[in-house]
Amino acid sequence: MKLDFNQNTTIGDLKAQFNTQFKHVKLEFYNRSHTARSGSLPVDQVPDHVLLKEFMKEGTAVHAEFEKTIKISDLEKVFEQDFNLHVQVFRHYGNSWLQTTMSDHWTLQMAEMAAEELEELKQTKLND
Amino acid sequence: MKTEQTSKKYLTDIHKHHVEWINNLSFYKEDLKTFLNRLEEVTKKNNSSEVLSKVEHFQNQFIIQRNHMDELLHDIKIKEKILVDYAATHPVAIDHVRFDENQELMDRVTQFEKIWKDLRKEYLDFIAKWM
Repeated sequence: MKLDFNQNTTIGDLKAQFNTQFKHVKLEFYNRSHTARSGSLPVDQVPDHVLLKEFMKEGTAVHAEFEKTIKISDLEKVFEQDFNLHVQVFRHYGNSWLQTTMSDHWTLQMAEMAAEELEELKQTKLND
Repeated sequence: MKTEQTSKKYLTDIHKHHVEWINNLSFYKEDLKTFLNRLEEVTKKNNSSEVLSKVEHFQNQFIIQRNHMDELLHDIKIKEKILVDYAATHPVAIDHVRFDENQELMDRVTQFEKIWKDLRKEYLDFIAKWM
């Protein structure tokens, strides 16, 4: 998974880049950091139009590459430590998104597959 | 060296076990679909972090346990096919022949049923609290 961003990239643009590679998992950005296995509050969520310069150091241009097998907690830690971006990973479920806290030790790929499996199970129910 | 523990049983007894396990596992899979739908209802009514993290926990467990169910069903059906094939090629006095029943498979089924029972109880307590 490749992500290119700099200070003038919006939160929305970065999320969109991520979602070209993951359909059932998404990123949300927050004004505050969180600890492992804890969630972030909706009130702290950063809107899509906000530029990354609100958080990142001046002059930072990033070309980041992540394996799909990276753990969710590690991905969040990289964003936090390297780019000063407070990120939470969400998993699609039904008509909503669930913030991953209990699955922080899962990989992005596992989270994507889990969401697909849940969707498949729901479809099976509808077809019964 | 790993060895498979076995116990000698009549074909009809082993077949009965297989049918019972397959039926139970199929029933649990049906349960699981209902459980997931109820979880979705819970998330519509409650969006506290406490509830959502438990929903996530149950979803994760259901996915993991469903995979275990599929693996068990697959392995039981393979054992059953071996018996059926043997009976078809050795029809004479088949009712009096004792076969090895795979103890490892039986233990896996027993272990799974315990985990499922505990998870089901934990889930039903959660649903009772939040529905």
